[in-house]
Amino acid sequence: MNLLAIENLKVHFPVRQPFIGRAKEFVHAVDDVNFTIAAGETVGLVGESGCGKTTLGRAAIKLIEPTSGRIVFDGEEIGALSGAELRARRRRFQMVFQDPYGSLDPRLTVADIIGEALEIHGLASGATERRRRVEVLLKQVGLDSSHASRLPHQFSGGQRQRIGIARALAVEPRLIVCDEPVSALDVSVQAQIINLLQDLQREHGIAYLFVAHDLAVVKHISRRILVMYLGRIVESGEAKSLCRSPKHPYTQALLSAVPVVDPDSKRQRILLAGDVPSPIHPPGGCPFHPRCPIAEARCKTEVPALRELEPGHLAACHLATAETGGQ
Amino acid sequence: MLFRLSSRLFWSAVTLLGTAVLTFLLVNAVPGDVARVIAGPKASADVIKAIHTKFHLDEPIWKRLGYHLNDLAHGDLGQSFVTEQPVAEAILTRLPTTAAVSALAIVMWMLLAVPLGVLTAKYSGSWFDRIVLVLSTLSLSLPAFWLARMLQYSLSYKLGWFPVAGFRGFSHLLLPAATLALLTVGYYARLVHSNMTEVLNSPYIRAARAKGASETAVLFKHGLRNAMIPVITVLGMDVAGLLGGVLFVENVFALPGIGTLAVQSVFNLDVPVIMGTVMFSAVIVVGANLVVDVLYRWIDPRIKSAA
Amino acid sequence: MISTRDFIAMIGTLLLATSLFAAEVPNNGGVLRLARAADMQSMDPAICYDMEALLLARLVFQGLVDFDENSKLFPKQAIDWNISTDRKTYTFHLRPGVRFANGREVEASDYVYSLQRIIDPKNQSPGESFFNGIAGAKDFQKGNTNIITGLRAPEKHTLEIELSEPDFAFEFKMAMTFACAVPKEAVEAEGNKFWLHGFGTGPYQLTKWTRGLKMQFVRSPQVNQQNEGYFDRVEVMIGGDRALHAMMLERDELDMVYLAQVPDIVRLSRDPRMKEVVHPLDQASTDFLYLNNELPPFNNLKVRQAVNHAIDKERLVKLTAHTAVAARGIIPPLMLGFNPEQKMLEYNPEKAKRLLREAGYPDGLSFALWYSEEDPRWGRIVVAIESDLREVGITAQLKKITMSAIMTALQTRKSVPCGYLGWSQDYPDPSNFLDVLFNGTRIQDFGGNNFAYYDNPTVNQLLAEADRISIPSERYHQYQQIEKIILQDAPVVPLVHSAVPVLISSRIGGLRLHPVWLMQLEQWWLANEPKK
Repeated sequence: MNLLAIENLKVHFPVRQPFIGRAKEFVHAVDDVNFTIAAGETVGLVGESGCGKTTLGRAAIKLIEPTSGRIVFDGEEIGALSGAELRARRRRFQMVFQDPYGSLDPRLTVADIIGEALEIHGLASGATERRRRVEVLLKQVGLDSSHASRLPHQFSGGQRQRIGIARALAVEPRLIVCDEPVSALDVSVQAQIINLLQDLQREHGIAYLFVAHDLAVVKHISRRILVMYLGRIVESGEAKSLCRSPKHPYTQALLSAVPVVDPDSKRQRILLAGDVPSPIHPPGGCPFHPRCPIAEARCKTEVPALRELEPGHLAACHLATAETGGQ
Repeated sequence: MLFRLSSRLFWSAVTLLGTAVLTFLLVNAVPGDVARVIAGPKASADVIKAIHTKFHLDEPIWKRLGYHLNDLAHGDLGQSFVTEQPVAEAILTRLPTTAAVSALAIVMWMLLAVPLGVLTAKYSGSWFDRIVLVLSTLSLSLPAFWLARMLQYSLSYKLGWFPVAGFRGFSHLLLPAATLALLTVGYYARLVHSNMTEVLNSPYIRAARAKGASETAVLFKHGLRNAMIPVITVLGMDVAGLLGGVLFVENVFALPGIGTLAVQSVFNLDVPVIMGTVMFSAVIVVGANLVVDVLYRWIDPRIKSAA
Repeated sequence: MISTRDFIAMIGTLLLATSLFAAEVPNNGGVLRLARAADMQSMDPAICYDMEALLLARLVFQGLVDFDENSKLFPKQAIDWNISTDRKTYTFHLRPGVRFANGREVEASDYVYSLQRIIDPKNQSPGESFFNGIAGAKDFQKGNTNIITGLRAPEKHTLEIELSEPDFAFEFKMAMTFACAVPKEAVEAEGNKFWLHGFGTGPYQLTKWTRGLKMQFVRSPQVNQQNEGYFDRVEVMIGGDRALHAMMLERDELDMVYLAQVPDIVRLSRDPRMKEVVHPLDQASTDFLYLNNELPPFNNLKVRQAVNHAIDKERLVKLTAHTAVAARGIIPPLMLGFNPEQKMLEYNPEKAKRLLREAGYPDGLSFALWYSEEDPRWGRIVVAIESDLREVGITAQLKKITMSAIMTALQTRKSVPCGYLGWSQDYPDPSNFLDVLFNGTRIQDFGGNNFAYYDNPTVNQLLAEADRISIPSERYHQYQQIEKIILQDAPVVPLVHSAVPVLISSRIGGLRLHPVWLMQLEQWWLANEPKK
């Protein structure tokens, strides 16, 4: 059984709330998304800025209210839960945030920030026990126990991200949604954090939903990858096979943009024309068709469904076949 | 920290000095023979002359300024021309009333503004938020004098819920304080609202929710505590505005405070008292800003350790 | 021997009678709550001269004689007094046992001290002109002597006063508050500070005066008169205006509002619940427009007469909501010696215009009219006067100043062209109006009360003669003739005789209108508990 199953998830935000009456226009941030995550698995979620991946990540653990759809965690539908019931379940799924500078309460010490999680879920039997556990967690993420009494602003970006991970880890979750956890960090630090996450996964068997816009990073850490465009999953599959033979033109463009170490290798850079269209008025038919280099007439009117082109490899393109994207 | 403090103290002193000089020049520019005020309507020419000599009224203005500043430096605020009471004593006897009304007003408006600000931030965009916005704007726009009179007339005089005027007991402070509170609550409700909104949009709020913290904990432990820091500093600096509003309110409700003293002294052309009340206000304002400055460094931990 | 039955009947009747009278006995206790818009200048009885301040001063200070409700002089803290045949020497016999609040018995030397204070130029007393007729006063003022020869205390309880000239009204002057006894030792020890917690022989003493804020009086341990000193305390709030005070009284936060505003009077009079609090107190007073007879244009008789003819007095009365009556002459109706037949220059704008032309002002003229709004009705009246004058081509430029300023200005010679001020009686004798206001020999450069600076030698002579007449009916007749001459000279415009509109809470008992002081707060008592 899957740890997390997302079915037909939609998240629509009203564009502007008028003074009286209902909103007329909506941002289709997440538009009918389906996927699953197995226990201990890392699933990567990529796409450009504004494609809805952050929203999806938050909605998946009910930090945002979905407009419709089902969220099933460990066999239990949590989409319908709220209040104290939901809060009790929160132990099982946590989040690491993108902004290391903003995601820690500036007025609380590190011990308080991590300790609060323990306190909420009753995981420590007293102040001493709490302190001990905080120190253990700090060590696990590569920090010193003396850091416990300091304030967030006294740490570097990388250190803060470690604190955020420690905070997520404190409640022994089964799933952690990592929302662009390294985008705000220096490249050298990024590698450390990624390695840390992998170590922790090996040690504790945590599943990750790894949201990022940088395909290179996602490729490294994920077993499966989901590619998102304008609120929809356009391609999903095992990381290696998806990267070796991408079926959707968008995935192909993304991959072609990934820098390669070998300076002599010649590659075809696929440049996409135009900007990302507005998620308030998505284009009819295939959402990608205005920028697609191979779009046909059919693409303008018919929405392509996600089709399994190879075992475990799905794409939503009228023109994709099992042979597409061969390398 | 120490250097900062002494530099702030220096500039505070400069401000006070400037206030003293400016007030002195302004007050002495007003026409009217001050000696007549002191001596009374029936004084003979000799008495007038004696007064001129005693108070150096015949000497050039820059010299008189010098005497005045010298007195101030020694803490001598002089005596009222009208009552011969030491100005410092006149101010100190009235200080408790003004302080009591102000403090009560602050408590009232904070008790109202903070919950309103928090709730409208949480339910931003709802009809509740909009109604509070309209009322807040109304509160900001109301003229102090008008509101004071209206409340006095309707609630005290017509309905008898409060005493009309004077100061015999605590109940006499309620309506004046409420008037001041109503004038300021709108501004603070919006201030708390905007700070809370900003804070509630911060990632650490989302992190707290992700942890499973209850909504109350999120709002208050994480949200409000961070949002209130700028509000406290504004409150400190707002002391100046409070002094102005207190003047109207004391006048309408005939409260024996510094506001009424200030107004009376102007009508009576009682120069030492005018100077005394102005300097007193200046000291309060400068002092409040200084305290806020020091406090700010202390309560905002980010700045505290950086210093 | 009376039978048991009769005895019981007698006791029963006695008890019944007592219980009936008990309802009339005033209650002791309670607090009298008053208010003043502005602070008083001083509580020194030698200085106080405005009606409202005197109400408070008379709580604390009292003197040898006073007027009763019928304007008759009676002995108060004296047993009696006699006047020598040449009418120059007055001998007062003090009542023994009258004490200051500090317990010391009052002696004649105290009155010598108190009267000397009025004459002493150091104190700048407004009452100086009433008492400078005492023998030796002028020498004392010049500094030639340090006692006044005409003030003597031959025995502990005998006060002897000798005047340099006979003065019919002198005994009346002794009833003025200036002549109240003050405790010499306390005044000399503390100087000006004494008045902040002053005491005298009155039923109350001032225990606390926070300048500009409030005054507190407490019943004195020595209450020297029978029907006085019922309240435990009197509290005076300083601040707020008269409209606010009226609101407070309606809400039972105050017991008396002095000079209530016209709109409040009108409103309360129409309210069946509240109309009993409105008390328009009749007084012997006249509001005058004082014309400066020494300066143009008012040095011209025809111009003065024109102004008199130009003003419609009945209209003024309406503006005061009928708390005043149109002037019947210089002497007001309530004063002894009033002439109901006196003729005034009638309202006749055409005649006014003609007189102006004859006077040499065919195109009209203009002058400044000084006034104060101490009494809120005065503001309304001067506006009506200004419009009446405009009708006949006279432009009156209204100049509003404070009460003390206008008093000073009018007392300064050649300073005010035209001033509006009311004059109410200090004592019930026509000389208080005619001699004080219209005697040319009393003109001073500064400090005199002849505000019109009117000097008619005939009138001066007649006034001097009248002063010597001691038979009241003859005296009044003479003064009425003098009044007639003065009115023909038109040095002033008598406008209205106004009552003082006062609001008094229904919880107060012991109210009696006084012809000179209007009210005697020292006699008030608590009739009902307040609603609160």
